[in-house]
Amino acid sequence: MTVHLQRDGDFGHLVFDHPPANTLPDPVFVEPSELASFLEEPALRGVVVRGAGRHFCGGADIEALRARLQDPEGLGSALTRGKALLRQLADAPVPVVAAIRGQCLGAGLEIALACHARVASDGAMLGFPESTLGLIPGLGGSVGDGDRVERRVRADLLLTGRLVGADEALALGVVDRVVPGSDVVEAAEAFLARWIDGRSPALVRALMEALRNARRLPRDEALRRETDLFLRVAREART
Amino acid sequence: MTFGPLTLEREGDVAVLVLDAPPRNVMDATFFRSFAACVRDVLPGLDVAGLVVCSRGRHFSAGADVGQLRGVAVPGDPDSARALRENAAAFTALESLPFPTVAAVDGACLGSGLELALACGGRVATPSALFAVPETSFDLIPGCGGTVRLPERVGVGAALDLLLTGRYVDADEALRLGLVDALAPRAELHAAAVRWVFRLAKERGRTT
Repeated sequence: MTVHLQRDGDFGHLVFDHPPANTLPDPVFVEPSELASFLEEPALRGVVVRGAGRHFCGGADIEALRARLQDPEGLGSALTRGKALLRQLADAPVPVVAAIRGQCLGAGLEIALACHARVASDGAMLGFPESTLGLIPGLGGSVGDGDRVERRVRADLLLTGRLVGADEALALGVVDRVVPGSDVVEAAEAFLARWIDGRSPALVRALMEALRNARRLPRDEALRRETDLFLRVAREART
Repeated sequence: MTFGPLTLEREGDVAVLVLDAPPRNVMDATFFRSFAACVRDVLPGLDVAGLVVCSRGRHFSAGADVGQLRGVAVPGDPDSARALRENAAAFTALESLPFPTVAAVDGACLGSGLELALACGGRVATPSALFAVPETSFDLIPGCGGTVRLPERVGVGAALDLLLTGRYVDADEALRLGLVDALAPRAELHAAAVRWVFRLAKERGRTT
């Protein structure tokens, strides 16, 4: 398997491990049920998505992708299942932060954008180079799913295929924090800690549920359930 | 016209709802009851171009009375649940008024105060306005639509950051995040809010 799911104390790590650039041979980069049970662990408090070695994720393995183009139906269904994985990350019951160093390209950037925040090392390179290969993103990168990348920024990155450094990515709103050097995983964990320290696990999970409802449910229903969640949380706070 | 701690005024074509319990404009049970009555019974019938929601004094609103908020959530008490639903419904009613609404924000705009501002169609603020959703610091989450309306304005990531840290956001960052639509000096805040009402009215005219 090219992706590992590891547990390190409060935090889980989803690690792309396919050196040298951690490319993905398959859009279904992890078994959906494995990811689901990993995210549903009751004691989990946050997830760091990262790459092994020098890079985050260099995107799809282009050779493997070209081979799969022989079977467009099969590839189409794999891409659909790949998008569902990104949705699992976005809808996780705990915060998910991408720790980005080196290459974060194509599918790698799509996965990073599905996370709730992105911390990048100053040497990171991000972009959607698909168009330079005669392709477009296949995991929702052209649409976005609740991320805050402005339409003109997304269009620029998609159409030019240019890669941006960490500082420009920060200015464009593609990443949330840039840290010097290579200890980006530590910085991502610190980012998560800043979110959850002093907050009870149940409170954080209630908030994640409310935000998930806001994205996935009809608005009236999301508003109604917010009150339910508020009452649950307030009752816990009293006891 | 007064509704408890609220005053409703008329300025030409625009109605002005003033949070009139300075300096903090705390949103306690009386506030919510009065607000709900005003939004439900009076505002929908007004023949106006729009509504400005503003405050008397230095602060827009310091938000709900946290003690009271905790107190209303009595386990198994249907009245407490009903009160909360009515508070939330009043904000949704504000959002559903047949004319545009704009919050004019000066000073602190916290918790339920920010949820009120978010239920308006637009937000104009002074450079000294301060925003936060500190509910999680009190072991609570927003209960008047904040978890729905905040991410609509600033995106999921920034909403999560504001909600989990409870940190204060100044006016410049609020503008950058999309939490407010425009800034104006204190002396010009009211006029800027009225202008924003007419701007929204024009946009409505185009789309309907």
